[in-house]
Amino acid sequence: MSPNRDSQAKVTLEDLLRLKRCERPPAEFWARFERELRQKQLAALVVRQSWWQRRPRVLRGMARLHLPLGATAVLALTLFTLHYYEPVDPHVAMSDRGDEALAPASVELANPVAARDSDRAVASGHALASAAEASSAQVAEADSSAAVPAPTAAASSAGSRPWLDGAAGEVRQPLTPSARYIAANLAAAEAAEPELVSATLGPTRGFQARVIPVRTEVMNNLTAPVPGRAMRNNRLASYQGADSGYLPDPALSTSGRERLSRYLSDTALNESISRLGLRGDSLSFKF
Amino acid sequence: MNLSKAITKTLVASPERQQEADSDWVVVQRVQAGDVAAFDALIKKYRERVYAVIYHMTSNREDAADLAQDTFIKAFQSINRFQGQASFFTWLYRIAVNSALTHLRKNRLRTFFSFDQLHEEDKTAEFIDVLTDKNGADRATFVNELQEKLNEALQKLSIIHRTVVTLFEIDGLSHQEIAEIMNCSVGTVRSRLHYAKQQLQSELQPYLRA
Repeated sequence: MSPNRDSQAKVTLEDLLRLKRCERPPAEFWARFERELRQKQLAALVVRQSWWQRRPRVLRGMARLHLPLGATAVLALTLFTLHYYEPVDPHVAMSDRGDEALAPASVELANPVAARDSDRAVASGHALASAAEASSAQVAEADSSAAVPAPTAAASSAGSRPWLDGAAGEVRQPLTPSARYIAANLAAAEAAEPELVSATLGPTRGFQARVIPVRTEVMNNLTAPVPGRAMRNNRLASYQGADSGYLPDPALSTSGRERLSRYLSDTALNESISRLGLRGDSLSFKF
Repeated sequence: MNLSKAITKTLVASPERQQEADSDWVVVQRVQAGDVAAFDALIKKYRERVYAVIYHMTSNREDAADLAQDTFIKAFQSINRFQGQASFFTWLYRIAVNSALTHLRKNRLRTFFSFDQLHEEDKTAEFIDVLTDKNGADRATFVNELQEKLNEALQKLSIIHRTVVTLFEIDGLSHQEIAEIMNCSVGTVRSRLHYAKQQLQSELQPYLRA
């Protein structure tokens, strides 16, 4: 139905909206409303508040200070952390923890090694003694000087392995059982084959130890005159002269040959580098 | 009464409102002191207005009743936090409006309309008569249709614009009071009201006479 358009009276939007004020619920509605509200009110009184909602009266006054208090706490924690922060040397930490972690069970593993070490020391002592008795004092000195480097090598290898400490290769307690077994096996291998162990696991191991000699060799080849370079220059000169029939000026030919040999040497270097494979901590050569 | 409360009260519109706020503050202080029954007086005083605000925002009388009850429960539970910086009426309206806004945002896709009966007053009856043919049979139908169209037009507005129109045009609050309730500036209230009225006028054009 459309409104009466014949009427000339003015009806505004406000008048229409005023109609909304006249929408009211019946009287019985309020009785029900009151009853339900009373029930909800009682239910709200009975419901226990959670412990975090029940704050003591003292803390209620601090509600406005939450932000500054939190910021102060964070700042204090940061300053405390910065003040007491010390960068830890992993070797020191490992040896310290090893000291603390010495347990009776690990002694069983460490004992055979220690016993072998002591046996070896005793055996070397006996050997020295027998040698001293059997031969002259010079021979005995030579033997003893030959026997001395063994513990020294052990000490130097122990320096590169943090769980081994001391000249006698005393086994420090590592952190994990697997590391403990590895240490025990290493100590046993070292006792049985000291030269092999020092050669394979000595201080000159690792990526740099393997790469640096190769690199040095290549650099020496670049700087120092290669023995075969002169021969190569001569062969190149004879080849040029034979094929083209052109014999350059000796002075020019020398410099040209030098340049050419340098170029060839660079090519050779490139080839050698391409044959040299460097991946992570591995080094490979292609022949 | 501290300075901020005094400043706030000077901003509140009329002396009637000021007097009303003072009398409410006395009752609130009694409730805060432990006189729980005093809160019933506040419920009786404001229940119709609170219900009306929520009803005009939701256009659903069942939802409006539930939300109005929840509003009074929330007000009762947190009345100790009310420090009298604004008037109790503004504070209660703010709770009601926020409850309604939360409800409308949660149930944006679920809209059921259920209207209360239109109780005609003298003034409204006059312009309803103007709008109809003054025919008793057509009048009732026309009133129902007009009521539906009005609610439809209001529901087409955004929640915020509907709230501003409801508070200003239907509940008769001042711009300053609406700004306090909706936590925005008076200028924002004015611009929202202007936009909402434009929308309503275009929707209700057939019923308007220039």
